[in-house]
Amino acid sequence: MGHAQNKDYSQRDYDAILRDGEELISTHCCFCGMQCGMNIRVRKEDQSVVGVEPRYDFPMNGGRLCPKGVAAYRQAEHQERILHPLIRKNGKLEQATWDEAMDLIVSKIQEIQGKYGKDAFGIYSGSSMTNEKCYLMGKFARIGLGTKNIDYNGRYCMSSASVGFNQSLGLDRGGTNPWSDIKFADVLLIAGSNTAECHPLSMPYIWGARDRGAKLIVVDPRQTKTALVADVHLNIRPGTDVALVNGLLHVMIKEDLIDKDFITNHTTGFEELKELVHSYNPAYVSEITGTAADKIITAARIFGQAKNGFAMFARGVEQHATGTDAVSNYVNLCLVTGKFGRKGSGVATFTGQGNGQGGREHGQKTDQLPGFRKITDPKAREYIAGVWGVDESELPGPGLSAFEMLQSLGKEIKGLLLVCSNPIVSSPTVGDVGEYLKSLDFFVCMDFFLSESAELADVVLPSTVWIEDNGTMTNVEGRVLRVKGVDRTPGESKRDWKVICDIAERLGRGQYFQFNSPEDIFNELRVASKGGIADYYGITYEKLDKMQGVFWPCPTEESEGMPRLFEDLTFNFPDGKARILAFEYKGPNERTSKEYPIILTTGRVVYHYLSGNQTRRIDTLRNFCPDPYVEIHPKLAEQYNISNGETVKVSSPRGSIELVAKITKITREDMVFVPYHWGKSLAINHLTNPALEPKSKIPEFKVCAVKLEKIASSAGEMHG
Amino acid sequence: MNFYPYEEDSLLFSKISARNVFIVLVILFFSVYIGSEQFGYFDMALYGYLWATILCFVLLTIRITSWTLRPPTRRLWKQGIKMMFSAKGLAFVLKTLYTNIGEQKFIRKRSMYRWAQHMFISWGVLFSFAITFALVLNWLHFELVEPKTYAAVVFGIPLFRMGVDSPLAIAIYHGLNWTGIATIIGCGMALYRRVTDEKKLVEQSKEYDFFPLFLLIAISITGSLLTVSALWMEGAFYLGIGLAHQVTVIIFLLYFPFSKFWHLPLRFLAVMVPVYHSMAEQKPCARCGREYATVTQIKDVQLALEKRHLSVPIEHTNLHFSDMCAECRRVSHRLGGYGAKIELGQAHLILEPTGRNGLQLKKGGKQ
Amino acid sequence: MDKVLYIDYERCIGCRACVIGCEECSGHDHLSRMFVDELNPGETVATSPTPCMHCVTPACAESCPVQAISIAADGTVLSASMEKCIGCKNCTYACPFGIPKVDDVKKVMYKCDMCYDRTSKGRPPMCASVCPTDTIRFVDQSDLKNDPPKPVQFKWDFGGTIIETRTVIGLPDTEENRFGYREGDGVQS
Repeated sequence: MGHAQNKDYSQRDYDAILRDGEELISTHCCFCGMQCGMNIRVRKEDQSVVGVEPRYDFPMNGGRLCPKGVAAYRQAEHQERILHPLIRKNGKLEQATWDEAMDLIVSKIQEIQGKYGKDAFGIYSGSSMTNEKCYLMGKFARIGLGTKNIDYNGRYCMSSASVGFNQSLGLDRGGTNPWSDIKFADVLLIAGSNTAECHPLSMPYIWGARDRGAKLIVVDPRQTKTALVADVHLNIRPGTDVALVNGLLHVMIKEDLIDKDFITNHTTGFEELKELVHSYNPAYVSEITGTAADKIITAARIFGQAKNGFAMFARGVEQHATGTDAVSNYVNLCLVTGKFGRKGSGVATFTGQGNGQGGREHGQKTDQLPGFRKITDPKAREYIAGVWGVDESELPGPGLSAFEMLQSLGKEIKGLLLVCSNPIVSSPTVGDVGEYLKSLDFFVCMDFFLSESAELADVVLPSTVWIEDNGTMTNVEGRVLRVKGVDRTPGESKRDWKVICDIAERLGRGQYFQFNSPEDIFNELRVASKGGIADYYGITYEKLDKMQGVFWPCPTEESEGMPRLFEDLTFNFPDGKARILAFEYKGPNERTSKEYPIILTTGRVVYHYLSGNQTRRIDTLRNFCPDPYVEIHPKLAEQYNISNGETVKVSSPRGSIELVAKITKITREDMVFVPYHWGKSLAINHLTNPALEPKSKIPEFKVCAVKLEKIASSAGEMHG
Repeated sequence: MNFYPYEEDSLLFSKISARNVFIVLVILFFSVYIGSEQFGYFDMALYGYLWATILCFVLLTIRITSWTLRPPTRRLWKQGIKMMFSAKGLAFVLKTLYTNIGEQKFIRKRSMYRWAQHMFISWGVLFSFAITFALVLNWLHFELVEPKTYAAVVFGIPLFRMGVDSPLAIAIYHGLNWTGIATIIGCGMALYRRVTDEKKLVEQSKEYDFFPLFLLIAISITGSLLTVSALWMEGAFYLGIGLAHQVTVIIFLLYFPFSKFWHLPLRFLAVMVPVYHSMAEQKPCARCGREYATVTQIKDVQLALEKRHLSVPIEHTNLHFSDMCAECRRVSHRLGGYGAKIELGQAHLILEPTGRNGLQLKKGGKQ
Repeated sequence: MDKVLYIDYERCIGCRACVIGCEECSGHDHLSRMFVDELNPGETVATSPTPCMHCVTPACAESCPVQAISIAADGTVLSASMEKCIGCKNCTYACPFGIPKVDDVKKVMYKCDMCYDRTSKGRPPMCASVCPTDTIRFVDQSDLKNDPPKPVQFKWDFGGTIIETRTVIGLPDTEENRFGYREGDGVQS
């Protein structure tokens, strides 16, 4: 049973239970890039969503779900859903008709673009939407609005990994291997990822490897659930990954634990690397990273001696001012030891957003056109213009990246369409972001819950939740899969792709947006991606159902996709050789000082998803983690005389918030940790550093300098 | 289900049962003797019902004896009764009697529909019981004292008089019809819920649930048909219907002590629970110090388990697992599994695993 | 075919998917019967789930003054019968594993019934279905007890009282101390 590509996954031999009067919609979770399969229970009588039933036969998760997955369906019948268009009248959002809202939107777009030029209207999009929607957003921006200013929240998420992979391997697919390959590794090096909490469904694969005797090395400042079960836990100071990896490379080169044949035949740049890491001896690296030299040596030996292995990482490595350097450096670990192109060997980044992979492939990134094409590449422009039926000269060039776009609101950009994102929680310096949004002439937002950002909009359009639409997503491995939904649109809500097509129609650009279903859009996307790196041409809805997902590239109708990349050890450069790049350790953009002596790092908890707009509204999830907190090591707490449960003020040069202290030995003495899923006065992003990575433009969320003050009085009620 | 007595001395159970049955029979005999004015007024039509009632009382007595002999039951009854001796305790119990059995508030909290259904059934059945037993055992009868006047005689004492056609008389004659109708409505609601509610609670298997409802409906319908026959059908089929009614009632009476209806006596014990929980000293968990029970109840539970040879002590201490709150019990097992020490902060003891999956005092673990 | 729950708790990530999943079983009335506890907060993030252990001689049933707790044919210890339960909480104190819960308002005890709705149809209980790390598994009883993959607990000796449970607990690897919580360690740099 099942396609050969799914043989080694974790599906189980049970059928889902179908209850009387119900039907099961077999779909995928909306939270995170694992895209776990699940069945949604729908009551036939009234199409109401009543529950979730495990989808035991889906390879990736075999019916298993994390708490977000189990509770995800509870959004559908949620009483806080927006069911009517809202228009701001006298400072308040009031119920309006679709016609009113659309007339206003179209007149404002025309007014702003007429007055300030096409690029004065921007689109800030998201990566938790289907490929169809992501593709449509890019197309709508370029030839619906004719603006160059479209970017998306994946900029905060996946962009460093993307740049890093591209510069090292010539290609960016989150996982070079199918996830089942993890089980066959002899060593797993997981860096900057609390896999257990952020991608829980990867754990069966990690345990699968461990059960076969694999060693686990975890690089994380905190002893997370993932680090707790590691053989070696390198609890480095946040932001010192480049130095750590240089240290690991130093040991491996010195002890001759490298694959010279592989290096010679399939890579370039090794000599420069060798020279650069020469000075990164364990003692020196120990000093920079604050982790013991012998642990660095042990980890390097385990990784170097293993035949097969993975280097895997996530935002802890990527959300830094030197994030792309760190990504490429971790890739170097596999390049110098020849861990590529085999079952059990490769690199991967844990995609955070539901469609973090697909969302960065098909043109909603400002510098990019569908199929991972560069918007500055004349050939790519020519091809896409042809697919869209416009003249190449009509396509705008690259615009501003996500955070730069926010900063230019009210200045260069006067109008904004916000879709599937909540930047006022997720951006650094959120206080300023609020001001940017308020300075807009016109701000329209599409969402199904009134997010903190939507609260500031002039028009809010009610969209549908994920299980009320059809489409495809691309998961952490590069597997394209089908999301199915219930055929309903509660209240006056509309599917966002329809709304976009309507706006295009009203703007007189309707001829380019004649889509009647997500499948129509997908079929155009297939052609648009044809010949690109992320080639979906051979993928059809039918094939996706039959194979339970298809790995791109899938260039022809006969092709069954490519689960494992680089099997022939040919990398995506003209000479076929991967690039070993050498990086000097530069450190984080902001250093601790006398005034701000402590490092702040931020992250996630298992119960919440990104800005929390969805998960904070689901009772069970909120109850398990209602408010943010600050994790402080007992020794640090002692210095400030802080006890468990007391309220602490955490301040950076940019802002401050008050949080409940959680005293725990799992963290380092020189840092504090705060989860970031909350908005307004509970948003830790008031403090984070907006310094951008020069290549990926990702803000440095993971390190900034803060100070602690104990607040005498208790904080009172806090509810996120 | 376990209907067997709890004590290991089964002879004890037989002896006590025999004693109790004897007492109940004597009381019954005298109540009938007095009620029927030395067997002067005896309704022979109710003769079959009488024997079934007596048998029902005997069975119920044995069942209650077996039940109350179980240590946890006995402890709870005793504790409850002891508390009723104080004015505060008595007031508490009476209040609970009203909220629990009178308005059945706890069922309303489970579901409004369930509550309405249960109010109809329970009060229908309880009043039917009262009327049936009173008539069958001759505790109550009516005497024609004047051509158009009845006297209601309770235990041989004429209580009041009423005109033969007075509304009060009609209400009383038809008492069983009113309770029957209430029962039918309640059972109908219950049946509807069982058919439409897809939730299949394993605790409520079908045979356990449907039969009693059908039985109640059968009793109520045959009973009501008797009235219909007498009033509007000039007594047609009266004998047949009467026989059917008698058969269903007798089945019910014999089935009662061993069926779903057994929960009725149990509810009287439930009345003791709130006072039992609130009128004793609170007990802190030996590990975390959180108050989680009363000192009395923990002692009672430990005693009950001991009688069943199911004590779960923490070795080399005088503590049992029940001296910890539920969470600390769960955590202690797991810490033991890690071979870690378990600090009982409140009891100032340190525990370690025994190696046999239990816990014991760590050497030098007394603080 | 006789399958029981197996808890390999060193794999637990404390996500409580089992706790929420438990609410999803048709017979559970959206009341979760599953527990996940932090083992030593402040020292470690180690956690463990606990479903009902389904004792062969359940102390909860023995301590019940109204005999409301019964055992199904397959050995599953059921929640108290709704009409009998008087909400006295004896069971919550008697249980050596800390399982039964009493809803104080509805006056009814509820506990894990292995998702009777699912297991009667041959499907794993919800907790074992959703557990993302395979901490909770639904496996063949005789295989597990006769040939366990690692040291396990299912016979408990409490000062001479032997309690056998259907649910099996897998013990962490304390020999090599490779995984999970190490007492007193905290994070070493």
